[in-house]
Amino acid sequence: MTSTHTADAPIDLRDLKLEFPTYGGAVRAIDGVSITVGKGEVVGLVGESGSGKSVTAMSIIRLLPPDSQRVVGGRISVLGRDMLKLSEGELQSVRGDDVAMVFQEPMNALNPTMRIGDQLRQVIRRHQKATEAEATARALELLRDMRIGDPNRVLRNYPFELSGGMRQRILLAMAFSCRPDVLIADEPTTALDVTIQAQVLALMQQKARETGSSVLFITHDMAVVAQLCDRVHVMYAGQVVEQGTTEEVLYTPQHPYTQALLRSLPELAEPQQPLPTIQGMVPNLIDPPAGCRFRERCHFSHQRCHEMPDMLQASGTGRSARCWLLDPDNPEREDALEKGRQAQVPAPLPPAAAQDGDSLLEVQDLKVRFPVGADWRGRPRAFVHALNGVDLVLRRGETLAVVGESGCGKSTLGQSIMGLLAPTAGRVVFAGKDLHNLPPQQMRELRRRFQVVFQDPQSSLNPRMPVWKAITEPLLVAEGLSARARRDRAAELARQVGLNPDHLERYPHEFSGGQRQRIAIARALALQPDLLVLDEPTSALDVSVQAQILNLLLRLKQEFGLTYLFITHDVSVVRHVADRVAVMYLGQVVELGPAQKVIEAPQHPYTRTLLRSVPELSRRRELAPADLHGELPNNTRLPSSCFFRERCRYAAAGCGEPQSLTAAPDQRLVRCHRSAELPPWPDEQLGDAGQTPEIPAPESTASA
Amino acid sequence: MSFLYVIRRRLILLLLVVIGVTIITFAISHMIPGDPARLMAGDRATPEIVQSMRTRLGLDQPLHLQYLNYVGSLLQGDLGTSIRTGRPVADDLVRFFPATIELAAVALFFSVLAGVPLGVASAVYRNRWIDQVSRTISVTGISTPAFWLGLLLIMLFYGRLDWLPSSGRLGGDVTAPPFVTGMLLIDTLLAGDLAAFRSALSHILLPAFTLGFVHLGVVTRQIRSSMLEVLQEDYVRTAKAGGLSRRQIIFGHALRNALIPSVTMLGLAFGDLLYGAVLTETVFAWPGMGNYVVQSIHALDFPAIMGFTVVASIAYVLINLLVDLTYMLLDPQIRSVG
Repeated sequence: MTSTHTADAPIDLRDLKLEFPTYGGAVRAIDGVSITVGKGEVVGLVGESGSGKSVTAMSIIRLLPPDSQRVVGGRISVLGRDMLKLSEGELQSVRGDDVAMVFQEPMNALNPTMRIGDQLRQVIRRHQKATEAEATARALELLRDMRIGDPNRVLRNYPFELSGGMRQRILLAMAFSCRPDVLIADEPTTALDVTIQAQVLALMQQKARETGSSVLFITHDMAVVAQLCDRVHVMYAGQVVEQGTTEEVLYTPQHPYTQALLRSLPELAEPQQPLPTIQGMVPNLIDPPAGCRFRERCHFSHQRCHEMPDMLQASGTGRSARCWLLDPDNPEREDALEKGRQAQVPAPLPPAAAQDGDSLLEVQDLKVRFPVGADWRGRPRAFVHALNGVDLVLRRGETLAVVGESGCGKSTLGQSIMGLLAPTAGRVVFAGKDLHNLPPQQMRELRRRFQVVFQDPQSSLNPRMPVWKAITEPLLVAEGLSARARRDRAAELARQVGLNPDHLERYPHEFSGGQRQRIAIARALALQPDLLVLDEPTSALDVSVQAQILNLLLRLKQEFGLTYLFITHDVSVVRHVADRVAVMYLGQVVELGPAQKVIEAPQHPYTRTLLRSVPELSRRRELAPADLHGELPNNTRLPSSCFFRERCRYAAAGCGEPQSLTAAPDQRLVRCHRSAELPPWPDEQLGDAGQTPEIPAPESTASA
Repeated sequence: MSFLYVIRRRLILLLLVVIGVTIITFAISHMIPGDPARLMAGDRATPEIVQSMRTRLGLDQPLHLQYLNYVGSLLQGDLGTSIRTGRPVADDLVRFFPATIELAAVALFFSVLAGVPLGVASAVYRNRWIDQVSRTISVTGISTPAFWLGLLLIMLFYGRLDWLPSSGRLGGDVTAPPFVTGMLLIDTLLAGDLAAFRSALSHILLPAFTLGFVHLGVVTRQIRSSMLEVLQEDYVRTAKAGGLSRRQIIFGHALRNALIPSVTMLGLAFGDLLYGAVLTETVFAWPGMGNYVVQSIHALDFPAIMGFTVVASIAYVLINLLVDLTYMLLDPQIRSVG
């Protein structure tokens, strides 16, 4: 594994330094980054937002606008070429031909006013001598390779006519169109659902092997790294802090940051117990503190950390980390390790009070549809059937997670429960009252008992309202409290959610994403509600911040006896916070039961597909190409059969009928008539169960 | 949304606009002081003559009947008779309206032809000298009063250089082409009279430039800002990562998407140009709607004012229909989704 540090490595970054000049000073976005990717190798580059991973990726093919940044040191060598010395014309002939790149947001990455075929042909003909017809033939072949059904039609499509998963496959096809030697993939599956992510990753891996391409894979998701990468680099604050083989870095991380990051994943934690978090914030890169960039957040920091450590090699391995603890001659080492070990691990929460089973909210056969399009008379051309008969009971004091992929109706369900969307049929009963058939006065009274927290704290707070006003606005509306009383209450709420009450005069943009989500939670708590609907509350956050918010939610629930409806797409979050889980597919609940039971032994075939697609840190395995086909069916025309039949590997006679939720063992409900006869989970070899990360203190291998 | 649906919705809107405009102008014409019958009969007419005039014009009938009469004749293309000129208003409009449309269209053409490349260059070479020049031009355009610019141009190109005529639509040395569209640039070509075409062209250059210059600034700014926005888009990055050339990226990918928001603005701008033409027409003695309407207002010539208002409103709605359809052509998503 050490042999990759050779001069002829397809990607060889040496001590790269790059700055963004701003009025406040130069932001040192990349500060001494060295990365190599060997021939045919898949190398991961992981880090949280702002760590510099995307900037590094873009700088490799010089994609950053020339006047917004400057390279102040180091070398970028790609396939033996010095990229810093190439002219714009030479760069153009490298890009797309020798080095291809795919990006994060497939929804915006294709030109909306140009047909797919034209966009593909354009790139092909730019680099290869081909007639229009030859380019078309090549494009068709590429689309077939990406398992796109009916490629002839897709060539004539515009991007908006295709799903995100399809678009990402097209972008991969475009990237592979000229058989690149190097592929740079910048979070290519982050915006996709997990089942689609599994398909796209498998295709990418397969194609890269065929063409012998080297891949630099940028991601924030450690579990994806585990599935895909041979080696990995971890970035923090513009520097690589640790690099080594995937096994080494994920299962025995050496750098305190890597350790802390992995510990904050809900996947590895005891359910419903606080997650270890990383204190403090990433340093400002305009004027970073001298010495180790992680020093102020590190449990192991000691005197020597005021000096910037080099990448130190751990003994006997090819991996290295930017930490003085790896220096066996460091006199302070033993003391620092001892200090780190004793550092605060979060105190466990007391056992939760038994849920009394009294129902707080009932959703009965809820249906919601939206009109789409208009014919010449202005009547809707069709309907999107967002919810197709949802039944749920939410018990007081429990956390019910609603999990599913985009388009499954989980957010529509949340909005109907909040009374924000009128159902087409069915009822939402809160505390015995039918929400959508209530006189306005009573609705107002009732509304204060259920509140909502949305995904994006950036856009859900009014940017021109100081935070204390935003937090207590519900009190003004519902109780007409004086400004003075509201300020006092705001300070109290701020303390409850872990915000500094002295910062309440500030505006939302002065807070970080995690702090803004705390503000949104404080606002939701202002009226002392019984029920919180949490709509993807941590999906926009980095894992270390997600850990803080999840801890906060767990604590608040106990403190105030709250009931949560937790909408998410993230199975590891479900496992961590939920008492029960409802799995949704195409506007229906397909499986409902205790969260641990459902995740450990899913019964409905869709739940199984979903769980099979979720990458797990503890599971180093091949990507399963088995579920390659199929996307969510079009929900303007509902199937008359079981909704999952076309994608189901267990479909048989009897599946042509619509299915109903029926009782199954372990207090479960499953919408599948065959659930009792399906093979036991796991129903296929899920790769070697492999190692479970233990995350030791740095000494274990360093002193070996 | 289908094309048919958009057209249908626009036509309903057109109907509502016409009803609204006629009611409002009709109401105003009866609220303000001034008696058309007395005006028409002249200063020295006896009360009897005025009264008979009133009967002849239908002014003695109840208000709603007068309105219905007006709308009834409107539907037959009869806009009434101008009090001032004594000719049917429809005839006057046919005579003067094409001149204004022609002026506005040439001005628009000029401002787009010059403004789009300037805006694109400005965005692509952001903060370089070409951007500075183009921004100076657009600020100058936006802040220069048209009548002042017009006078300057007349002084230079007519007074000092004597290259271009200062007034009118056609020189005295050529004969006017037969009336087809009323727009001389088209009619002279249809008649095959190149000398007359050249004369018409030389007459329209200065007023069209004057009128278009203000608008040029608006176009340049709009294109510049939407180009800057589009150049930041992910798909431009994709094109760049695919190794496409600058030319392919700017013209093949960015420009079309940048034009989409500009099209809406062009529709609104054409309306502005029509009304803005009034001042320019005065400076260049251009025999268009501007002069006609101003004189009609002085004379309290309500049939003429109403006729103009109705026709201008219809033109405005139709132009915006055209804009919506162009929009659908440019943006495939609007074409098929709704």
